[in-house]
Amino acid sequence: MKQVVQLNINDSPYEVMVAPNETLADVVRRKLGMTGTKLGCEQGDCGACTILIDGRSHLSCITLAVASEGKEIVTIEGLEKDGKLDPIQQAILEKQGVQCGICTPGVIMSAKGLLNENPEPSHAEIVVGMSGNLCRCTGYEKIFDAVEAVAAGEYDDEKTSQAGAE
Amino acid sequence: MTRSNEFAVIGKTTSKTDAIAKVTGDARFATDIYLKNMLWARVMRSTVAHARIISINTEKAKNLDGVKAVLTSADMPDGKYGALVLDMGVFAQDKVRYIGEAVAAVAAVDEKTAARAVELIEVEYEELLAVFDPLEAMQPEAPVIHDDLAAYTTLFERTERAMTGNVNYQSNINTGDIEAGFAAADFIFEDTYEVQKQHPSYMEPNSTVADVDETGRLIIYNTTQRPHINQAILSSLLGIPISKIRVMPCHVGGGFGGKNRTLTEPTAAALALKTRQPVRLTFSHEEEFTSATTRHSGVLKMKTGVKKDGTLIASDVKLYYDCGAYAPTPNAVWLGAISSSGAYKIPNSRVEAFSIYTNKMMGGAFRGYGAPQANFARESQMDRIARELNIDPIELRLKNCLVAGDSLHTGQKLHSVRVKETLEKARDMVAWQSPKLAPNRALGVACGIFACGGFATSSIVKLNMDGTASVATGAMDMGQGLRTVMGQITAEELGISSDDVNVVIGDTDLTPFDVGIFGDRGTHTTGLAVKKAAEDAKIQLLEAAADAMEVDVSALEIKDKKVFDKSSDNRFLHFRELLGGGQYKKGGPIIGKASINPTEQPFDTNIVQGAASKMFSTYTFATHIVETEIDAKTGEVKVIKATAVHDCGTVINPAGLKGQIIGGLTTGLGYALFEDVIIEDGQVKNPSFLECRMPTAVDIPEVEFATVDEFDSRGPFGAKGVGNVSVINMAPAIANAVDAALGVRIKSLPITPGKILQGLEERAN
Repeated sequence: MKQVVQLNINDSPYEVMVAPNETLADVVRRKLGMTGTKLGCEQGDCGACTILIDGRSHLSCITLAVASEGKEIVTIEGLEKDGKLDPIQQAILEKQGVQCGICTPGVIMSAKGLLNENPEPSHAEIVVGMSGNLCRCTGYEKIFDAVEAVAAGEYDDEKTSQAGAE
Repeated sequence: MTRSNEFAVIGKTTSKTDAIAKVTGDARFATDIYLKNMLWARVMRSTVAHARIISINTEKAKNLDGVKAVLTSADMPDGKYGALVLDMGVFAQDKVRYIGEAVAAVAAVDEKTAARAVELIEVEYEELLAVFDPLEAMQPEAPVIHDDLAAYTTLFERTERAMTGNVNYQSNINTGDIEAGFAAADFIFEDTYEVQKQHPSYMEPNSTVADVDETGRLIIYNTTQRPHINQAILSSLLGIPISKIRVMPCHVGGGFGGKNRTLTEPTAAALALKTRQPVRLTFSHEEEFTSATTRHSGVLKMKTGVKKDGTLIASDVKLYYDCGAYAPTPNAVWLGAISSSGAYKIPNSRVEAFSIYTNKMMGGAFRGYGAPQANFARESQMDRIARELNIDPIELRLKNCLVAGDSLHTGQKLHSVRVKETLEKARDMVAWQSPKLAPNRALGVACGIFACGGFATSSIVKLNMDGTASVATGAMDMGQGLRTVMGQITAEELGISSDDVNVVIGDTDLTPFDVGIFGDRGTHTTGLAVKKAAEDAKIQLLEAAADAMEVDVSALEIKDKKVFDKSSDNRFLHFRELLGGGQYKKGGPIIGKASINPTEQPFDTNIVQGAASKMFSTYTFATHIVETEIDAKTGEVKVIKATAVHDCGTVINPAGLKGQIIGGLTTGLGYALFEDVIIEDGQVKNPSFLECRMPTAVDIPEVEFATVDEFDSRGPFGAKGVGNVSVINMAPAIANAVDAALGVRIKSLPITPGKILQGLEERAN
């Protein structure tokens, strides 16, 4: 039977009627119209649907909406603040880490999760940390560059606003 | 000759114009489209590999609550489609030919109902003998997969075996005197290679939302590399005029050739026309692996005659490409035939290349387009020759490689060739001494050629009132960066900045025809049409300026969005002055246009029979060197470093080029080491990213890349393509490194730990 759940997504409360087997990805995309979270394989293999739940990266295609109640959910739409991109978005952009773009939101959310858990990851930790996100286009190298640059503080607030102003 | 340092925009790294929308999640893909009242479609698929259809009962499905329509081939006009061989209907007609073939489709109010309805469709089959091996399928006693093959429409000159038995396409190349060539050889090398099915693994599944607008026109939102061809195919399959169809492609979540198809569009469209409601059909992940397209698997036989000094003198190649149950693009087999001589001058050459039906999912276009297979064979054998003749592998390649002015074995004379320079540069970059570096550690080299560019395209460049420009082309951007590059080319030609160019692609109502993006033709060929259209607009702008300034056109030059009178620095008009008020006086904006087809010259039929194309616009080249380390206990190969040097002519966008090259290397790495769609008795055994995995972050070697100086006179600002050629060298380079490290020659892909351990065991015995 469907039930009402209260979801906190990108700092906004949502009350949604969901079926017990409905995934968080479907709720966010279809019911709330936030299609920035992408679906690739829909079975937890590709990472395109990655979102943050309480700061940690999760695969929203295999996460149930009913199990997400009361938690702090962040999707790609929640990263931009006051018209300014998140450092990792800015870094992926500037390091040319985008090609077709279908994996990009998931890559960005995984990188956020990785940096939340480990703000100064080594190159090897970045490689392993990003290995759950498949990307057929880029060969990953520029994604590593972007995460490394953010970890090194290249995109702290001041610099981000400068880059954004260019 | 113009070099990149003389350009204002070309050769400068330019951020992808769509990158911001992609990092914010705003970019809309076909799977992001949910329309009001949208129905969900699902396809009912064959569970048997080869059978006659006795009956299809859709009554129970039709009667299920929530089901709006059920279609089978009986509901469709009797049409077939394909690039060269028109052999496939939207749904199976009379027979099913592989497990996963579409038999019927359902549109229902939600996905669950559609899935349930599919289960209620009853099909009675009379099973037939199936054949899964291409060489067996060529035997006279093999089951015939397409009974009325000879009657199919084909778009090529049929050679002796084409459209007979299970062979749907054959091309032959004969140059020089093959018998005399082998008679003059000091050594003859003969090898057989095998290659597997590799899935394109674009991460966004095939998806279409079909809608019918208020005027009754069909609107298609899809993910495709060829919107204008989609439109034409839909017209022919659905029996409605082309003008009644608008294809509006969304961002494409990866294509790699796999979306140079028309897979979900006809079914979604037919269901939308029937129900008069929007219909969405998105392939499941499993359907992608069972019912889309892979790179052709196959068997390659290569016999090469060599002089003592290493000069290649004769080559006899037979390519048996397994296209599965239908042949959507046998063109890949033709490209395999061209590439099979490698980037080498071989005076006496014979190639016979076949596209063969088997009862499996289809083989077709995938990045590399027929060349990765052929180049694996050619470049593996080159290394064997080098080893047995005790010649350095790079020296052997340098001795035989093509140079500008040489003719390829097809008889096509080459005007832009720097493969020699790519070999030399790669050699210097890795400080090559000899391949073996240490026990279990070695370098491997491969070089290759790819036919680049050609076929019909067009572009329109409109100059806007504010002094900016809009460029339109029917080509597509699948992430390779076509939008950005077309913007750069327009900007360079018009003397404005990339930010001042609005690029419109794909939409068949807004853009002029392009045949589709494949075969390294985006930058080189579509780019040329864009340049010519911009040039046309520029000429008109100068004429308008000459008129306004009362001077001759020859007295004018363009700089920084202004037209200057060369005789006086102070006399100029801003673009916006000419285009703003001016365009009302002239009665409209300045519109430049160009329609081109650079593949107009046919091959000499004394040399080539069954060509799937006319002569290509140009050829692109690359050398790759890999450093590998092999764990002799587990047989696992680790590629530590890859060095790539490309002859791609003028570089338009350096960062985009680097992305293309590293992406191509990565796909080549997966092909070399583990990607393999395994089919047993017609059934795909590993239909997921988990079981059939592509390279992940942990598999990626350090990459160094470089280009060599080249200007291709036939490309826009001297540019050639890079997307396909970047894939074709990794498999042979890795196989060559494995052989150099262990003395184990692997002749079948992928190079799995099991094959290496077996090779080590055989070597020990």
